Amino acid sequence: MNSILNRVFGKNPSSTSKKNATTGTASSSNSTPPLTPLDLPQWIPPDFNRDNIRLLVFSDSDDTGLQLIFDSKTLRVVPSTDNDNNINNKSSIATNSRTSLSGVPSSNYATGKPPVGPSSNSGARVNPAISRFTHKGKQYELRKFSNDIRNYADYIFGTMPLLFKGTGMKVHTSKSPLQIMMSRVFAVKLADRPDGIVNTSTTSEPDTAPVNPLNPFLPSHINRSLSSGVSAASSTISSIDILGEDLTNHKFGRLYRRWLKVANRAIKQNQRQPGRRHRRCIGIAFIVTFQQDELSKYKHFEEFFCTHAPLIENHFQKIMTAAEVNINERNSIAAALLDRLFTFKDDLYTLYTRPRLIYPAWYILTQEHLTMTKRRALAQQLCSIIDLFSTPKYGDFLNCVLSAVLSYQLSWLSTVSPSLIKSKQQVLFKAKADYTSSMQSFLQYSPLWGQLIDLFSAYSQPPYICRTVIVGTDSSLLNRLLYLMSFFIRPSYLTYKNPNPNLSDTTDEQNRSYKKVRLYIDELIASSTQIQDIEPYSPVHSIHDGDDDDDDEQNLEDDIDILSGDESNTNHNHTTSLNQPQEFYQLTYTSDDLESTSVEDNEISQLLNSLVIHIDQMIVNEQRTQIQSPTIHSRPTPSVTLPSPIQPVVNSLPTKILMSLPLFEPNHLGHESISLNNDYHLDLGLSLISSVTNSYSSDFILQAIETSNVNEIIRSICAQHTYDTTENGGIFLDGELIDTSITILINIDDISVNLYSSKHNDIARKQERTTLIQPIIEHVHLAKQLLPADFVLLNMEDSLQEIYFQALAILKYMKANNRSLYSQESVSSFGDSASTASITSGDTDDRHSRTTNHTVTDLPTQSLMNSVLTIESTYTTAIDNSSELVQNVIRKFQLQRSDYMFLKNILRVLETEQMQMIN
Amino acid sequence: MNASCALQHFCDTHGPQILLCTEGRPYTHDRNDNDNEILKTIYSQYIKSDNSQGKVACKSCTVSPDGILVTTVDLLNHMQYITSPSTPNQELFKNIRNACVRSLNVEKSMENDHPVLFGDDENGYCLSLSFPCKDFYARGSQRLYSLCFLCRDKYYLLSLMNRINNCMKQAIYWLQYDANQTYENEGHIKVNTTFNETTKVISVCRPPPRMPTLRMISDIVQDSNLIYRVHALFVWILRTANSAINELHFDGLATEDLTTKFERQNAFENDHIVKQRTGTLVDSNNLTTNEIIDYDEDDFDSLEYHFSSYGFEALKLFKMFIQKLNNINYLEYILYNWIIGNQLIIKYTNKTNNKDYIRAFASVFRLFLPDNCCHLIETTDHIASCTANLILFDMNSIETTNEIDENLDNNSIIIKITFDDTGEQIQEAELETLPLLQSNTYIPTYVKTIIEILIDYTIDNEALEAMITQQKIKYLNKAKLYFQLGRCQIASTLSMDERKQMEILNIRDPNDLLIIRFWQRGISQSYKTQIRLLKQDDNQQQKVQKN
Repeated sequence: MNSILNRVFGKNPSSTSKKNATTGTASSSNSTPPLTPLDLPQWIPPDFNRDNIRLLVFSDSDDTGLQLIFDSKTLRVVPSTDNDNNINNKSSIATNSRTSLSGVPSSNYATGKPPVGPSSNSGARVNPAISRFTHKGKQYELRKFSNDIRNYADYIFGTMPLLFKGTGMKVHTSKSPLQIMMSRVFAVKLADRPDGIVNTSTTSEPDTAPVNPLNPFLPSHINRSLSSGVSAASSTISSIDILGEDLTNHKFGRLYRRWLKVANRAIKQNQRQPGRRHRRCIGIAFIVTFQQDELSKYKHFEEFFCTHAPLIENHFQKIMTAAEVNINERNSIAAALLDRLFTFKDDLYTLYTRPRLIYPAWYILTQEHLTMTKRRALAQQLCSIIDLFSTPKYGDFLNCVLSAVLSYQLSWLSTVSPSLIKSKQQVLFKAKADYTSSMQSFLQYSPLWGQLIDLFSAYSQPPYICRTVIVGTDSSLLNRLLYLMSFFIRPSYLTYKNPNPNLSDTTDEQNRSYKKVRLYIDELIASSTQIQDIEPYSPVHSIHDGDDDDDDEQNLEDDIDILSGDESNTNHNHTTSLNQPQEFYQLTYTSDDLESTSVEDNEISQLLNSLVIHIDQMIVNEQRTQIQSPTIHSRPTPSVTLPSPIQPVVNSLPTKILMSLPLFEPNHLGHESISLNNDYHLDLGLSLISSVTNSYSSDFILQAIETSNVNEIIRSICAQHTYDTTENGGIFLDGELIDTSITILINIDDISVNLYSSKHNDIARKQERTTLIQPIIEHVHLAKQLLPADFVLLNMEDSLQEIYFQALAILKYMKANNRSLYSQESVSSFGDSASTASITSGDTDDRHSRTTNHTVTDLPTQSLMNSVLTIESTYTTAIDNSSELVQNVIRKFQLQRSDYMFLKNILRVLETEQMQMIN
Repeated sequence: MNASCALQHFCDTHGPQILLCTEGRPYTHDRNDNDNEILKTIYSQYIKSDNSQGKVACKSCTVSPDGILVTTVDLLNHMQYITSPSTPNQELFKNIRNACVRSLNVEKSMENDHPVLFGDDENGYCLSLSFPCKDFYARGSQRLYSLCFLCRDKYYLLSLMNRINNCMKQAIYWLQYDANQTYENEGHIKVNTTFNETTKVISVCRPPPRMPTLRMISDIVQDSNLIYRVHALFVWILRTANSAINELHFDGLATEDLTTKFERQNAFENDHIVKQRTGTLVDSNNLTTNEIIDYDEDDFDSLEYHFSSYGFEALKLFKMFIQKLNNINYLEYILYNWIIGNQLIIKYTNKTNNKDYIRAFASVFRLFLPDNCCHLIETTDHIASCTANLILFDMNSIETTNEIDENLDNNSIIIKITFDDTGEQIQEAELETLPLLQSNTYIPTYVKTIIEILIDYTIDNEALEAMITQQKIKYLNKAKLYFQLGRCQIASTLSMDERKQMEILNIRDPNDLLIIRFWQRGISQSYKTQIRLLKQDDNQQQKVQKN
């Protein structure tokens, strides 16, 4: 019991309470007397010095070469006494500041080894090239350059220029010094010399869009990557039948949404313009360095960095934009970059160190090993919070809060949609979805990305995103409401497996040995079987490479003793190539993969053919070994088909043999995998819910801000909205263009709930009370007098499920009412989706033809996606506009106008899922 | 977006070259596909592909002399992996080629043994780790190789960076270890020296060869089965990457309808023998019985009586029935009795002997009640019928109807339906047990809703089902709450007061209470057990607190 409590409520707050004293606002110890204190675990902030972030900006263009534009390491504040003297020269120095990095034209840099070390150092000494600029009243001085710049330039741009010098992202890490670097290289879109840019881009475009040689009629980009990725996944997903149920069934809502997103994303990615050859690139990197003795801190940050990369990149993007915009403004670029750097440092610092709600209510209540008593206590806590906010003083406040959150933050939806199977594991009121891991493995999406989608509720297409901000002056109330909200925001959580990857017998780095794993592999190889009857072998068979001649000649020139080891080697190779086929022929019908009972005539003839070829081979080999045995250096016998010396291409490759190897699972050798405990730096679901703080941060989807200046918060919310809907705003969601950005602003002091949206900024929409939510709140009153608190949890879930079913019913009703419009639009798409059905139905002939030509496989997805999109668009308009229909719904289902508004988003998400159900 | 792994080499004469690549692709084993046709078509692409592009007949640029490709199927995770020197997948080939050049030529890692992650949206992303291998015959006594992990999704790769890196390092260490051993063997000559009449073996360092020789990596590590090993390691890396992070989702529990079905199935499987015994008992008693379909036995594997399997047909029949009945009060009366648990007997005559239509008709009634509240029997015998609440009585097989009525309890409702000659249309519908006059005044809300839905002609069968399901969930939830109240002492003393109950359950009509009481039968055993357990625990806790 104690251990569980410890697990649940943080490790040991006492040992680290000193640190906590500084961020005391996070803990809720100072609650007002009538309120029982929420026993939330305390937050231990990670140690992070934002001065350890270094920013490097380079510019690389064909005519001026590589230039360092900004290096925050060489930045220093000029003491104010200097200011007056130098302020006059400022601009002139600044223009002078861009010196070519290597001191030579870029062609030199591009072709050979760039001049490293001494020359650049001496250059720096001779010409200190200081640029000065003012930023927020302070004078700064930028010194050129530090010694390591050359190296960083290599990391960022690569040691050799590439043909496709263009956009790209890189991450480097190193142990000494402990640092992690993320860099981006991108082409400047804003032309500094318009003529040049336009010309190059147009001329080079045809080259970069090659025609697929296999299928010249399809645009190469779309068909290629689809064939490798999603199409296969999608055809599998629909054919796969893990549960005996169709996975695309709407009831697997969340997973279906995942799949839909993956598919959408793939299509979108492929529509991107192929990379162009650009004349001018900017390379930007930020480096986070830790002291050499801070390994554990570094590890923590590195893990945080890897999981939060989308969000970090989103902030990084702002620096890139600043650099791009100002690249030609020689006077202002340093100041602009510095400004951005400060913001970036703050953003990163906030993202990393802001106090989190360590255990969100939903997370902790779904822990599997929670005792009934503990869970009841937690439920009691939730009930008391609901009670608190539904006292007459608050009126409909809680109803409005829940209405707003549940209407826009839709991650709860799939947690109430009933599971179709009897789940093996249940956690009081929820069934664990056991099938997710296999879904994940063949869809291969990042679970973190899935979490981001959940957290920002970016389900629809194009997505809207949603954040919730609670403001007020009473931190104890804020904490309570925040905790309550964290019960209704329900992302998936992650479980990490940390396998012990060591293959060596010993953990000792110096004395490695691989006996066990080698034995294991040998066993596997011994049990491997040949897969036959695939294709008739090609008639060309030759063991001998034309190259052998050269080799032997070279060998001749060497001393005899060289060959002592070599000889056994070559012999060994010959014997294997000779023996292996034989061995496998014996194994033919014991193979698990070949359970075919019917041996067709042509299969037999194939077998015979290949046997003949192999016998031929054996004879040749025997002859050769006979000849070779007396003198090793004798010229080998000419092979059957001697390739002409001009041909560099291997047509003399030996016949291909396909072997099936059992799975290699080194865990069997005693390498156990350990599951890790969750922490915020590994799990976005835990990370993006912030505890009570003083300022707004756009990274958190749920945050409480203790402030009396609400207007300032609103201003930053609106600014964020504007940014979100720009081109770069959706970077963190994989570059998706965000349609609408919504923030729910809950003001405890005013007792008001307002919705801010990017569609009509500054104008808040007041959330109204809904009747649908009311039962959830009313259940809690029962807890007070009649029922234990955990019953209330069950009932609350039932009420949420009722809403889900109601939405489904409304959707079906609208569909039935809409049928004329609806069927008209989707006739063509039905045909398309029928073709998908034929694939999934297990029609092997069909599949056969599809997979042989691997470009065809992707057609169904595409058409499916198209159909989904068209249906969605027409259908959505029906939902939004047909007011008569809406009136019908409201009347039929005895709703209020606000109820319908509440359901609208849910309907929109559900309808996307429903597309699959139409036929 | 499937990840892949590649082994690449910097050849002295040809520059960066791809040696091997391992691709993963989703694959499901199709039980009908005995010949593994799908796999074979995939394989044939590899066998066929000579991928001559840039592939040079150079020892250093090949892995092993025999043209072996290796494949592994991971049935558990629905993945299939294949390793070959080249891939027929053009897109992947391009990406690997690109990664190969960059990882061996262009990208510079900050430190040895540290990976570089690079890439762009167009060419995919790559985690590359280049490493030297000792080779006595190579220029400078070592060769440069690199391992790459490629995938389309940069955040996926980033989040797994450390884990993939650890695995790749292990693979590299192993190769380097083997290469070192070969190097040690080749670089030293063992010389037998006779010194003071004792023979000693001394190893003498050899001078490096004057001309570097190109060698295959399988020779360098002295493993003729290297491709198997590389394949195994790559598959291991790919699988580790796939399984390293898992999402933990929670669904809602299965609906009560579904759970009760599971429970009946379990009960059936457990007490199969007992059931059979009772079954024979019934048979022996009723010699006239033509057919007893025990609802319990067939329900989980057949779709009989399921509204969704009849859908449109069922709705059409029911609407026809309403039309023929031609009295809304009668309909209300029938539905009212049906949903509060009274027995409903449908006597029908269908000359064509086609039972499909009457079953479709019955499925509508079944839809209105929770799964477990419904007990349906098709019979011609009235004695067997006392446990069921829906009885389909085939009038064709019975000559006298009089004796039936005598044995029925008073609350039973009897409907008589006659099908027309085609057997598809309802010719006549009649309510035999007419309602008393006052019963009209108490119509539960649920019945009103049903009728409203039924008479709305814009609603199709799908919408009808969804709407009824919603209503059912609503009342079942109330039934659950009612059940909970019954388990709690404070609440159950209150339960005397009907008004209070209605207030708690949020209903207005006392008739709705009847439904809720009856519908407690529709709650699954597992839910009931759970509630009892929770209550028990709560009681104990309160005792502890008092003490």
